Amino acid sequence: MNSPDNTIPTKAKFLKAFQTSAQIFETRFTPCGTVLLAACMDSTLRRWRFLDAPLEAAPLVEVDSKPKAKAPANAKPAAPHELVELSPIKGFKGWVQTLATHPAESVVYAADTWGRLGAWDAVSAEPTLKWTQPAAHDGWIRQLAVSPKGDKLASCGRDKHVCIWDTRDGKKLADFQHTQDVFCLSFTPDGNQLVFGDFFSKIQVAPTDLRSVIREIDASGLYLLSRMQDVTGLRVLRFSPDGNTLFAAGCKPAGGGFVKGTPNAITFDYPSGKAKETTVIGGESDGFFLDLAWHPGGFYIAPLSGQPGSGQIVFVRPGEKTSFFADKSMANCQSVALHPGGKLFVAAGTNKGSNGNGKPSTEGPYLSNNSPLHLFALEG
Amino acid sequence: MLCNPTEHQISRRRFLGTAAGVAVAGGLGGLFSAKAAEAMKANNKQVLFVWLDGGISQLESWDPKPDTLFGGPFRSIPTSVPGTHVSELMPACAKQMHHLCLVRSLCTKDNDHSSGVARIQRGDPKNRGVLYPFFGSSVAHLLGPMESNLPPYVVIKEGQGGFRADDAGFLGPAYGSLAFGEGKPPEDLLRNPLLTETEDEERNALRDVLNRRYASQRRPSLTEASTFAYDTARELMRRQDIFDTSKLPAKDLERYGRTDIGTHMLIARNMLESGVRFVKVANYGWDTHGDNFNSHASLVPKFDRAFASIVEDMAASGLLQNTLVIAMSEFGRTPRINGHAGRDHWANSWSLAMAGCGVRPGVVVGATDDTGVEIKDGKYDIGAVFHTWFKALGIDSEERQYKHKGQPLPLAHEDMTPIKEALA
Amino acid sequence: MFPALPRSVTPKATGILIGALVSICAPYAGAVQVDAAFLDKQIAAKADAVGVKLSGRCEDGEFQRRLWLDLVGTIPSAEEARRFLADASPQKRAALAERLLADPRFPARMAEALHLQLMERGGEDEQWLVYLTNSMKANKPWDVLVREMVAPDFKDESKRAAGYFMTRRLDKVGSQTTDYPGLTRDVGRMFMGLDLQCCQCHNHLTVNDYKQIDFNGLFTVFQNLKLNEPAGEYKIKWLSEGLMEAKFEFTSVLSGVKGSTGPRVPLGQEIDIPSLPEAERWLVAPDKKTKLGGVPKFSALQNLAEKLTSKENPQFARNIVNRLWWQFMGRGLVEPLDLSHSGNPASHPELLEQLASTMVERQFDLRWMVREMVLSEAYQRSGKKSAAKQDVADELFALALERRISAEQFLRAFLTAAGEFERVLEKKGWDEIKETPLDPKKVQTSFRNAFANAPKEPELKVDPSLRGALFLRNNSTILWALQPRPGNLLDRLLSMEKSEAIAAELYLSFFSRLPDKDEAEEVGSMLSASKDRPKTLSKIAWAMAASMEFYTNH
Repeated sequence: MNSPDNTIPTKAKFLKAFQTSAQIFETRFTPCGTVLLAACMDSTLRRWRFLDAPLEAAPLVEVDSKPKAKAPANAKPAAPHELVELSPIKGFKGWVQTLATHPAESVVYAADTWGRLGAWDAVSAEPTLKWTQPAAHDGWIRQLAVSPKGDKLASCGRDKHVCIWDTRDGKKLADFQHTQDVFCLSFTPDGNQLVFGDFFSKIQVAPTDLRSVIREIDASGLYLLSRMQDVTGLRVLRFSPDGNTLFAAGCKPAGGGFVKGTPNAITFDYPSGKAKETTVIGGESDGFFLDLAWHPGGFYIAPLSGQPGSGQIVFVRPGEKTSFFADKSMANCQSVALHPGGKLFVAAGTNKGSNGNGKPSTEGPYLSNNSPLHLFALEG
Repeated sequence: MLCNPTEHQISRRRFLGTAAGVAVAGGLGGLFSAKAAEAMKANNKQVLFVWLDGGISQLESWDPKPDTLFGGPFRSIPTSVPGTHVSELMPACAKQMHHLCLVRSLCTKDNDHSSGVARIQRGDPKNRGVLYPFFGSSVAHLLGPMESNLPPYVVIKEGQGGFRADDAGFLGPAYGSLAFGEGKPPEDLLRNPLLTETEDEERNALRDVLNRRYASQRRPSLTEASTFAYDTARELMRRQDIFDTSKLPAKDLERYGRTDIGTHMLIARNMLESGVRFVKVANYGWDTHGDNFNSHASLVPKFDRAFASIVEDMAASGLLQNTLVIAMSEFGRTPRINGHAGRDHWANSWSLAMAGCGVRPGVVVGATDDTGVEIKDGKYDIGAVFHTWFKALGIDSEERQYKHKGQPLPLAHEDMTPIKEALA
Repeated sequence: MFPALPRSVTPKATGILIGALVSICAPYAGAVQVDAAFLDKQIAAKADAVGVKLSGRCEDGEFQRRLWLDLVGTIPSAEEARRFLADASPQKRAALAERLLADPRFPARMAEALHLQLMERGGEDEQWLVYLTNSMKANKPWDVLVREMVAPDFKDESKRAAGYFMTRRLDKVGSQTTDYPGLTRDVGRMFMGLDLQCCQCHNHLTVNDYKQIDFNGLFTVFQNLKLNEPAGEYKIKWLSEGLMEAKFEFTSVLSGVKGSTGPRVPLGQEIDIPSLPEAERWLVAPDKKTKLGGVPKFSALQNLAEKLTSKENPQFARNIVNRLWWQFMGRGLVEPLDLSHSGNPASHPELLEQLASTMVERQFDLRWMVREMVLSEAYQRSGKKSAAKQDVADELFALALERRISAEQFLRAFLTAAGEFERVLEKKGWDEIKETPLDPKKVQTSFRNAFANAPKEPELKVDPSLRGALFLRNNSTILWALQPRPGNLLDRLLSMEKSEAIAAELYLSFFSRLPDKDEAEEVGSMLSASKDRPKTLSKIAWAMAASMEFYTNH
């Protein structure tokens, strides 16, 4: 993933918005960059072919409302990118909250909140199932991660299990019984260890056989007991490519209910497990880091959940106090997919006016919300 | 000479069958008549009112819509009543479903906390220009205190406790609630350490003597009210055990959960067993506009354990027969999931749970459609629910009325009637 | 003489009443001397008519306790009480009344009683109490006082604090920032004895006299006021009035019938809204710089206040007469105090009318009526019922009714009885005892928390509460006051040998009377059985403080 030129991006420019009909939790490109995948609330895994040039008759719908940030008047016309929806992958129950892609192959792994895990060919016109584990977990599978070599798939869930699966056939390789609900996980860049963050925002480290926990890293400042509600702040774990830094991100909660909290990402020196700088963004209404996409230019592109109606995409460098770029044109950002070329990314947000008490109107159908996908270009 | 405080038990335990609370002269003469005995029996009804402030999501509790557009991530599970399912977050309540009666078709009017909380708890009668009492105050007024002499309307909650007159509306402060904040007693409840219990009893016995002498020359009602207040005070002081959290048995705490709601529910059980007429357990923090699903995953199981345990215990001890149990919020939560994975306020179609006295067990009343947005069957506003509760307690709310400044006022919304399917 | 009834009423419902009133009242009009004797005659006539015998005069002890609580807001010290009982003069009751009416604590007590009625625990303000006290000291006529309260002149520093009634009543309740309907209701209740709350949205459902226009005639004036934060020389919240150029329109939510009104005193004539050329509408135009509101040439508020308090408004005089009667006799001539209407006649219609018309003639002299009341036999009646007699209706005033003691009265009475008044409330005598002085404000607050009602709950009845009982049983200040300390009650008692003397001192201290034989023996036997005299005495004192004889004004 090398940029063709050596300019390190410092900002993003909004190019285009694409309407979808579902609420999206997580979105990723295939390693070849031709298909965009999205884990959706309507129990589907959606797919779009990503085109660099427009189709003759593009069957696409653009979002009516343009984002607030206006392009400068002298800006060049937006690049002619398009998304063409492919048939979605179905057969899930509840939500599909997480997906992961193979580092080299066009395979996508996805899991639902009822415990099903599977692998599909991501780019074929019709979805092709490679394998499935209908009861990989008892209930909500919260996050998936694929090892750097692509041989192992890790999963964690509300059933307090962390599991490792063989990416080729879905065979369970390891199963760790945690004492708590496990929210997030990541392989170390060398592929030898798995780190996972729990309900109380504690991070544990285990070799990939999951036989034992070899150490703990404390991010429990991201957990809060608000009245009797446990608020788990830690939602994302990411390593720097050299494996020396662990970025533990989410939110420092200030209260339950509305779940107010300030986006926090703690930089840990991984070898020592010591916390270094904590990146803090905005205030108590800015919510969670829900995803982190590592850019080879040395920073993360991150969506912030915000409160209903607000949200942002920020660029953060590990070890820095706060972000160096922010785009606030999208509401309730959920996920960011960096295109393998390193010059584009797609962010999933939420439609405006997604919240409100009672029915939005007494007439007409009662509709669900949806996640527009915004395409951004990275600029120096 | 000073009398022993126990010598005038009878006069203290005034017959309270229809007495409108503390200010009404007791009809001692009727105490031993058959009719009065009957009334006494009818009058041992109690209420446990579990208030989940902020709005529990019906979809993550009593009315799950698994694997539908608005159904959320959770599965549903079967219960002890074949054909009835609840959210997987409620495994313990699922086992007690044969004691419970669910109403899944509440359709109320207020989406706003500030007005909704009061409207729901006051039964939202037609605007009469007077402030209606909370259900607890109504029951305190209509049924009076129990023989125990403990205050009739007690609230167990987090935060501050104290005397809350507002609850009583037009019934007046005497029917307000006594709140135990964090399960702790109100100010001045504990005996001053400078006094021994004997000394305290002696001076009270003298006060009784002085009062009886005073009352003998006047109409007795005011002195009786004072006697009642002091007796209640004595009873509360004597029964410190019922709210002393350090004395709750570990085994029970384990079952109820070592959480706010678990502890408070256990205190509630003690209070009901000790003879408090109406116990409200107020639990806060259910207003999950953001991250609703993780919030409910944390909150609901805590409620589930505590609620299922108390229902189970009360069923086993027989207390459930005479106790109306209610668990509800001021509204439910929107089917639509907002951009912060939250659910907002929703009064259009939501649920409550009941059990015990006068309630038909093991039934589900009403139904919502596949997405949980509209009510398919049996729409009920809170007025109908109030009628149902009164009926379950043996109070004919369609006949009986309050008297306020000489004006008759209905107990509950006069255009509504009890939910028949919910009544035993 | 006023018209007997407020305004046109359905003849069917009230025809008989009108006839009766007119026939009773007419011959007396203007001729009668309304004084204590007149009150007694009226009370006696009604009791006679229903065959009820009035109880006799109360004993001196009961009388002095009652009078002290009513006129100076506390009870006499044991020494004072003993002196009065020993006084052989047949005129001693009247003399005591005159003495207490001249006591500087009388205006303060009247101010406090007014404050409790008017504010209903909705707020406390020192300047407001000072204003009321000064007004009572000057025996300010009630109509003047009410004009100053309802149409406050914030520019006049000496009267500014009168505005507290309006600003506090208007100020936020719950989640609302202002409460105009609440203020409207309260003005009707407090100054005319009419609770018009229901009439905001429709004619009253059960009271024929109360119409929607009655509420809205007041409401239109008040909703034209703006509540301002303290600014400039005004260190308090203040009101400014807007221009009023059109009538207020309203629709009944029940019948859908529309109506409109200008400023209007309930049950009275509408005040015309003059049409002024635009340039002449402000007397003082609003000043954007100073942010002080302007003064409209036509002030609806001033006009309303004039009409409200004028002698053409019979309800205004009836209301204050009724409230004073309630304050001193334990029950209004009209009950509830704020539900005066033709379907709810006074218990003694002629008495009410004569008191009201004399009140007007005497330029709303409150002290006059207080004096006549306390000198009457009706006031001095015993509260004890004779053993054989059945309950008689309160409204006959055949025996003295038990009345509530306010938290403030209770605090003063308790500390007076315990001999700790000066130490606690006047911060005297702490040096010699080497204790940390109690903060009088905190003590006051704790008594208020224990005995006062919640805001907006009128304190009308004796209302023993669990809260009060727990406070008296367990509060540390109560126990503290009943420990021996130089100069206090316990200290005096411990210096006495004989149980008779001790019993007398106790009964005089708490009940302003001497003990009877049984009572004295009771104290004697407790003392002779006692192993710890201070503790026993403290227990007896506590039982008296917690007793109903102490808790009520009887």
